Amino acid sequence: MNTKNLSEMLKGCRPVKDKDGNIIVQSILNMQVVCLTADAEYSLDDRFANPLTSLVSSNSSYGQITFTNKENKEVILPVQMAILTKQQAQNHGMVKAGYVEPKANTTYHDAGCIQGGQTGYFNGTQEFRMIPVSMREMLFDKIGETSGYQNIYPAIQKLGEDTKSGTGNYLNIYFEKYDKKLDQFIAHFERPKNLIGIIVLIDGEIVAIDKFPSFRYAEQVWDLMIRDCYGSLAIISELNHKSAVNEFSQTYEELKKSNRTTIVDLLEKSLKKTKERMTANVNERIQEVLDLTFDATPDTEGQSTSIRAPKSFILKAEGYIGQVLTENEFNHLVSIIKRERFNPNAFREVNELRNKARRQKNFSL
Amino acid sequence: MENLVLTQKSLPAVKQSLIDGLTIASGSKSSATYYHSRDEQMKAIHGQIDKLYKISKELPLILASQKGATGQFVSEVLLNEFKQTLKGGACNIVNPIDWYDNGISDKAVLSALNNLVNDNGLPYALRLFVEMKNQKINNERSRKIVLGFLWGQPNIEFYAIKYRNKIAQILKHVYGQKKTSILLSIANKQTVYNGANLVATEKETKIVNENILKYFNGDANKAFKLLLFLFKKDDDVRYFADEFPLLAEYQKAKVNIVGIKSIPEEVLLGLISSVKHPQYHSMWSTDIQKETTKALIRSTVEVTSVNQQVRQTKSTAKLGVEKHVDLEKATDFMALYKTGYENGFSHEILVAIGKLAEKKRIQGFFYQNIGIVVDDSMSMTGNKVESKNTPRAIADFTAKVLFASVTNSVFVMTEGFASDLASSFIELLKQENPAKPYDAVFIITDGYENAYDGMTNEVIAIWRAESGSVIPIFQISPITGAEVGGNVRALGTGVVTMAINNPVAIQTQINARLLEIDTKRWLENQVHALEAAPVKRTKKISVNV
Repeated sequence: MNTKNLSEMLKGCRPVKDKDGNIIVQSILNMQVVCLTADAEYSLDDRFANPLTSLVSSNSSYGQITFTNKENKEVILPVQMAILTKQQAQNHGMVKAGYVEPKANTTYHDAGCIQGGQTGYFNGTQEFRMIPVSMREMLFDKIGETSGYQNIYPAIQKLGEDTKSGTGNYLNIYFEKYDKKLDQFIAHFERPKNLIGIIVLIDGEIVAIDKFPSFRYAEQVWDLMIRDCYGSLAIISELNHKSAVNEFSQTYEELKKSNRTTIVDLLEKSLKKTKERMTANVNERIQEVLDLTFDATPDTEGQSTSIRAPKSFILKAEGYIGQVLTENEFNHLVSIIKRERFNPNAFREVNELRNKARRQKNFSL
Repeated sequence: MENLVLTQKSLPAVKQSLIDGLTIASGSKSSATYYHSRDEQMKAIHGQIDKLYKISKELPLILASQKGATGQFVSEVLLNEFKQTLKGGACNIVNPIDWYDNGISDKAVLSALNNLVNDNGLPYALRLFVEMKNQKINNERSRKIVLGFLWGQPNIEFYAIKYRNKIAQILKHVYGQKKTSILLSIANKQTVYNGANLVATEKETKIVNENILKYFNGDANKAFKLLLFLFKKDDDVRYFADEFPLLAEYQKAKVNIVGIKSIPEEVLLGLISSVKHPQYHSMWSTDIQKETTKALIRSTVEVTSVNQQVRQTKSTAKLGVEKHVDLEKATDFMALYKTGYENGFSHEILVAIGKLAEKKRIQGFFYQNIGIVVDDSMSMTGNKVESKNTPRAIADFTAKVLFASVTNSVFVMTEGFASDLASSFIELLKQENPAKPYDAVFIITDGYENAYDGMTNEVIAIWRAESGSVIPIFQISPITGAEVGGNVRALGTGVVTMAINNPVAIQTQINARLLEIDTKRWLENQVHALEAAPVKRTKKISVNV
């Protein structure tokens, strides 16, 4: 079994910062988004085709999806795409990311049904959506499981509970209920130029990391990622009455005690300090996960066996699970999700003690 | 007009509806935006109009008569008004005697219609009338208003050529199949047999008087020829250049389009693209011929408006036509911006935009020392569902108009891709001249703050509390949000929000703040303005004054 370090998997990337060097943190409620960028030479803009327009999907048995690439360029399938079709057919979803060679097709047998009682196979459709990120952990756990079509049902049921949408085994019910809200959600986040990845935090903890193959690819999937994928986190936060902390006001009150200056100066200092604090918090959290080492298991189900094709690995570390598509040590796509049950604070305490232990010198006289 | 009949009890509901309604009136659009589909936008507009109408039937018309009300809002209000019977709905603000019997109702409708045409052009009114047909609205009041409007157009000959089919479609709906046929028959009898001068019967004269001459400011013979032209029954009609200069030229163009100057480009293209046109095979049958003919027409026609010429900049260059357009004569700021975004902002365009902003400056603006923050984040560029760069153009032009309307101003634009309005607001405060403190601050933004949602409101709240400043802070949004019922997505409680599609609406919206102080007085002023409006729906006093 291989191991892969997150800092190595995200090499070449860096957070987008403002002119003062602070990481730009975009927020809504208790959710924050940090955008990653890279030097242009590491963005393979011309190599891969648009996954949302170059692929058509079909299936001929439940629990499988075939993607046909119409273009003469390779396609990387974003993590956990869903097919929500208007055809008389059963909607399906992927449990992972994938790869399709130019003018070729690939069938994944570890896909799953996302529309319980509906029957029928879909054919030649491009009705793609993304599966909400809050389901991602449970789906990654199903990678490689090819027996049956029920891989995604438990995750849909959980989404239904988390979002009070009564989905049962029907993902479309969730989208039908929240589509309008999700559309508006897109407007809350701005996509910077040369985006190559995203880090998502909830309550100040990193819950998801995505690195895309190129700037162009990120632009192509941005709206879907924000709306379908990350939008579920904001909906869950809203339902749980979470809100943003008034960080600026708190900082202002603190600085006011020790500063005798004009109001405008104090406002400026407070804003600077607030941004520095937000940056420091995000920095700390990113640093923690960068230290993570993942066990990497090859994922072969449906993936191309061609020597030239990127290889897929399932990543597992304490509290995190993910996938990487890599080729000659160049990581095209990385997707990491924090396990819901994992409490980073407990982990931090253990780590702190472990680090202390490491620093201790051996007993000697 | 006697006093308003508005009761103290209904005042709070009226006040809130007016405030919400004004935002919709000046910010609503029918098109999809970055955030919302067309259906959602329309639903929000309908919802607000419905709400206003239910509170009191005068409210939607009062808002539609305000300067800066969007074409879509005015159209929907008029459509709603025409749908209702004259006496339908309750008058809870103006005394019904004044509203119905003293004609304020009519004046309100005509003022709104004027507003629609003056700000948006004739096609908006025609679209409204066609929509009336689609919705099968054809009551006596709407008929009279449509006929008065169409026959009362001073430039009716030109419009008859430019919008021939649409006007015919509207007239046919308004007159009905049978009466259209009768009118055409009378027109045919008295015009085609020119010289024979067949005398109309008493009954025919009555029909013509009631249906045409009552509204048309000209003689019957002229009206008949126009009618026959509109309905394409004019094969035997002769148009003399002294009476119908444009129709005479149109007749020429039916044979030869070369050298035609006064017929709209699209009409000439329509003629030549018909295989029946004598020049079709020599000028339109191949792609090369088409391009050459288009270039010929573009370079010859002289009746294209400056605004349209500005919008055609790219296609004119593509056709290889060198045509100088005097950009400074353009009156549509959006045409200038769109051309700038498409072809680059040349010095000439920038000067034209600056001069147009100067022309559109708000006369007698309340504030003279202002601070302006403009959100330059990515979402302000619009996207594929919204006309590209529209919000950004509105924001930029609004800032320029504000700048031109005051004595002193400080301008700060957000930096980077995200909306960091808090930093820009503080920067604005830093640049304030102590000798000329701001009397108002304008933040031009879509209201979607990125870092973090609510931060600007915190900064404003603390600044107000600490400095004791009570100056108004206005949030001007080029976009309304369907999720807030078609209103502006506010940055917070410390700002006064306005939706603006055109800077001309700023003063109206600020005036409307008087609403919050004295709603009754504001309404009285509006009704008095309607009462004094120089509009009437009979001939002589054209609705197009």
